[in-house]
Amino acid sequence: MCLLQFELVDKHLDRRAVLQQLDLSIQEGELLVIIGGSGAGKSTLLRLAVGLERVNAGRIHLDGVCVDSPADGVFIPPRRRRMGMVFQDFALWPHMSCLDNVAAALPGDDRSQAMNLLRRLQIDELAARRPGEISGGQQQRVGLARALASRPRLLLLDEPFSSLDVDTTEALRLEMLRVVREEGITTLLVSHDPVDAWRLADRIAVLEGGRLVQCASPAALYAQPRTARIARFTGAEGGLDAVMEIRDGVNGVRIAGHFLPATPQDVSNGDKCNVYARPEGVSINGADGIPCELAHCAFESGVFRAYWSLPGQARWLCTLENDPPPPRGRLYTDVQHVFLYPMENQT
Amino acid sequence: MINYRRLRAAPLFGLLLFTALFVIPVIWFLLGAFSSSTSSRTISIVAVRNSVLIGIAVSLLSVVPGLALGWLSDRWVFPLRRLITPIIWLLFLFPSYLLTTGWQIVMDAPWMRDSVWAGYFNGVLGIIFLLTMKGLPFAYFTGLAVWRMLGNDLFDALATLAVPRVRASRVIITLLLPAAAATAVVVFVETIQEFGIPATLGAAIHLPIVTYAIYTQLTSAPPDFRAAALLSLPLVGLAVMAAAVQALIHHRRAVALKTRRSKPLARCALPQSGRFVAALAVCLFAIFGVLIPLAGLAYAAVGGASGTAGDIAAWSSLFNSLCYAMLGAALALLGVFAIWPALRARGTWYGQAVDIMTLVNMAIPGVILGAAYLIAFNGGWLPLYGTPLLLVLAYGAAQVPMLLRLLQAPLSQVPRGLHEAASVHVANHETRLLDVRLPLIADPLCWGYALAFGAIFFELPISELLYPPGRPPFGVAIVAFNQALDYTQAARLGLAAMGVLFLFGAGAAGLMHLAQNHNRKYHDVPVAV
Repeated sequence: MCLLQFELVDKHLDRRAVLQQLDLSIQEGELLVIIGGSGAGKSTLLRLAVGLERVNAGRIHLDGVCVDSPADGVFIPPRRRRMGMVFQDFALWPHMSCLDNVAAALPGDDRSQAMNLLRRLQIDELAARRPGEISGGQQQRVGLARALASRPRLLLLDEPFSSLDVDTTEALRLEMLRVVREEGITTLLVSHDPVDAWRLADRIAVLEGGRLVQCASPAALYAQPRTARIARFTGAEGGLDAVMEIRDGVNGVRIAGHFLPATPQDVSNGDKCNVYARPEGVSINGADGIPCELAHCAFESGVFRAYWSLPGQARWLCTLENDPPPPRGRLYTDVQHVFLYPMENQT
Repeated sequence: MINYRRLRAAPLFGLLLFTALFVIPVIWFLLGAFSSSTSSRTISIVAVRNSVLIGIAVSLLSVVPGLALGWLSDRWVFPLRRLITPIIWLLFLFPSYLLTTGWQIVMDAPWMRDSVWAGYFNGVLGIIFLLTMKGLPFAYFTGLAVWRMLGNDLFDALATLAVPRVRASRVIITLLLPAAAATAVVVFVETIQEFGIPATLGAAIHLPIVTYAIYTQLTSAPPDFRAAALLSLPLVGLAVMAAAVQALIHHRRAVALKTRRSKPLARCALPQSGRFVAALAVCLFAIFGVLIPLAGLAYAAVGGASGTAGDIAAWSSLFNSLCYAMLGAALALLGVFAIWPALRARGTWYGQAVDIMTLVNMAIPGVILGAAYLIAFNGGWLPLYGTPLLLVLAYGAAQVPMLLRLLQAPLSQVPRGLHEAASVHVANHETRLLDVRLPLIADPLCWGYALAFGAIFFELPISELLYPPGRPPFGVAIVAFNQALDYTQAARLGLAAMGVLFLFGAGAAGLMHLAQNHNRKYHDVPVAV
């Protein structure tokens, strides 16, 4: 059942279109991760969902009820939407203790229930302290407890790990997942970190320039990244300049006289395009591949990430090697990991 | 095209309120200058000329000492350094008419009365001296901010790169020029708008100064509103022009300062010879700025100066002022709350309108606002003239632009997320307002209230023009004593007022402290489950 639905939503801020014709729905019990670059409209989407901003056009439905529609003159304020939100910078009220921060969000200021929530998140010993007296990770746990306090229909998480260090992020990510799954709360998480999406998402929605470009399960997204940015998000590198051609019914490009099979996305035969390949689909063994030179090599968590320079190309392709790579080699690719996208302005 | 859908009721209400209570009365009064009625008296151009010349002189005299004091206070360690800030604040809060009275008492002492110093003091030099003293705090605050913005990096870079001394000096002067110009403009505007000194020493030596000339046009029989408006026009025009010049200089020359981050600096110890000079400068500043006038007031208060028998009724003016200040400050805060949504709506036409209007209205001195209220509420549809309500209303309206600017930064600095979290998570309206939103802004509000209270308590021009008969504020009583040369009563009343203000401030601070402790105890009680 659909819990939250954006229907052709437009949002402008300072006369700039932040979201355009957004069509997106979230199913009950689902954990949807929204990803995108800076200015893609991720946080605005979240703020529209909770009611901190109003749409300029289109409708938002929550649990089948229209909560925001300028055309119909409908707007339900945040406090009546029964949602919980965890803010990027925690947004804990500094003059209150952790316990009071949670209790204030409970109907009737129920302090014992607030205490239970803190205990559930293993921070009950911090109850009497104020936010300024605890660490960032602990603050985020208090923020989560506060968001869960009103037993929300929908939990919104706005880049919840971006202010935390790596260790705390990893621990809190799993902790949050556990709590959300146990409570069965529908969750919308906004992040710019691909790891959040891979570790947490049931589905991933990708925003680019205020438009929803793809919304799919992590596996589907990995198999068919619709844009170059999504390909990069799945680990692809490159951006080599080429022209698409079809040889013996196989799509691909020709680089340094060698044909490279590839999966085109919105590219036709004869179009100029950019080639992206994931390291797991590129290897340098054999004699018939494209000749290449090692440009750079970095030791990375037990493997060598090797950057290969191809003839006539300014950009590199990557491989992951178990042993130190040779200075030269011949490069092969797996069609499942090589994608072609329309030529873009590269910087 | 106006986007009417973005128009919200709250900002519009704020805009209307500000227009009704500030813009319309002031414009109405100023437009009186172009009315067809002929003035019964000639307009004193001399007063305008005097104000401008004195303003320029005071600006020039204040800038260098102000910047130097800021530099000494911010960069160096020497004996008496810690005294600079308290003295500056004392001088800043010292009402100009009391400062003048203190000096007048000293100059009227038998051993001074016939000296050459008394001769200088009872002339234009005395006016310039007193205004320079009152201008120094403004110059100091601006200077201090500039030195902090400059930071140490620049000086370290000049030293590290072995830049020749002459070129290094040129770099520093170039960076300081916009600040010096800004300081001069601020002091100039403050000087030409000053009322307390012209109303006391200026009146005593019969030196025409524009603010007091406006007041005279309004209070002489019959009052000449057109003449007052004609005199007000150059006053407002000069302030607006000065603000424009400052903005221009700042825009052109202040890039280097704007882009720098301020950070705390480690102060260095001054060399031995420098220490002596700096300590001597602080001593002289303290003596001439605060100690002499305070000593004069104390001397007169204990009956050392000439004076007539005391008027017990005048003491009730202290109580009047206390009530007016409490109500006026509360009204000003309410006004800020009403206008705040409009000011916050940046990027909208009404947000920009309020922004510009509040800036321009800071250039409106109290005497003009008082005159505007006198005309706007004198009969007609709202005959409030002569009532305490109008006086309190004018006090409140006069403080709103200053309070808006003062509270803008601290209120904006409360992270938006804290208010949004309250909107999302706290369903109960009362809890949201009393437990979350108000405590978040309580500190700046209390400071704002205290400052507005102090400013109204010592206010003079509006008081002079609008006080209800039989219930004058104490500033009016003091100036009346001063003009009657009854320094004993003026000094006693002035010192008592300072004492009352101190007690009020201490009491309020104590209450705030208690409230904060109570709040902390309440919130920190652990819950047993």
